[in-house]
Amino acid sequence: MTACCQMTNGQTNAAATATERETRTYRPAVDVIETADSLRLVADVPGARAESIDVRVEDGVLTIRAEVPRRDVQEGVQWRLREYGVGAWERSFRLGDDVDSSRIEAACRDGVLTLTLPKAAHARPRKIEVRAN
Amino acid sequence: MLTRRVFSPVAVARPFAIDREIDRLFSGFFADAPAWFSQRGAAAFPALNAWEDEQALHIEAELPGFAMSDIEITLNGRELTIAGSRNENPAESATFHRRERPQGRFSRTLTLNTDIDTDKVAATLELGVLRIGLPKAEAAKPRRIQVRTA
Repeated sequence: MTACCQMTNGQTNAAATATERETRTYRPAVDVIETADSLRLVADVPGARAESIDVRVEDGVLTIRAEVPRRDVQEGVQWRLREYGVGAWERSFRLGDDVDSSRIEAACRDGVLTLTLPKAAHARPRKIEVRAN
Repeated sequence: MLTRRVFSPVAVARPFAIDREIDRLFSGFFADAPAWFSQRGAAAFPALNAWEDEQALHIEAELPGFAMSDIEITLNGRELTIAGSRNENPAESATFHRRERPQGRFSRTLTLNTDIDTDKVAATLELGVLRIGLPKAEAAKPRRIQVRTA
């Protein structure tokens, strides 16, 4: 079910629509990329400023939430296309033991949130010295 | 595809990762290959909102991570095309555990319902949100006709 379906289903009065728009939460698309010593989580959160993004780890669950202010559209306009809704972005991920959750870094630019999750020491590749006998 | 869903509950614990349960649930939608071309109807990228007032048409699209130089907006008569590309290439040694964000080229064409004053078209891109203002041509604007009493 897409956001646009949700927005048009059963919402016939303007007041209800306005309230829904303020409280609605969407699930951002993410890429998760693993390198030798970290995981990188990249999330599309268009409309969100860095200062309105909350990243937290609680009980091994990483949650990203980005508040997005309503974008001004004047009353009385004629809508021609409504393919997406505007609201907060939120998504949670359960972290494995392999992530060092105390050292997660976050940056946001042009509506893209990037988290770097360093691997715990035991999860990093180690080179084993081979001794000649 | 830019898929948006209301927040889903956290998945059960998995080693090393990153809500595998949801991953499996949605794996049918998130094929590995960029899927911009195979999408149908409303799922086309980018999703668009458009509205109209007396003076202008307004079109908005979410294009996170794009620079204005990645986007090409052309107006040919009443045909408006929004095209561009996003190509983020991580290091070759990297492994994708999840790849939902669209990459590659996209293009969408809309047929507008009115003539536009092409000299006054303006676009802004802020926080990954593209907004295009398309002022209507003078002849297309509503005019108040003075009704005189005979």
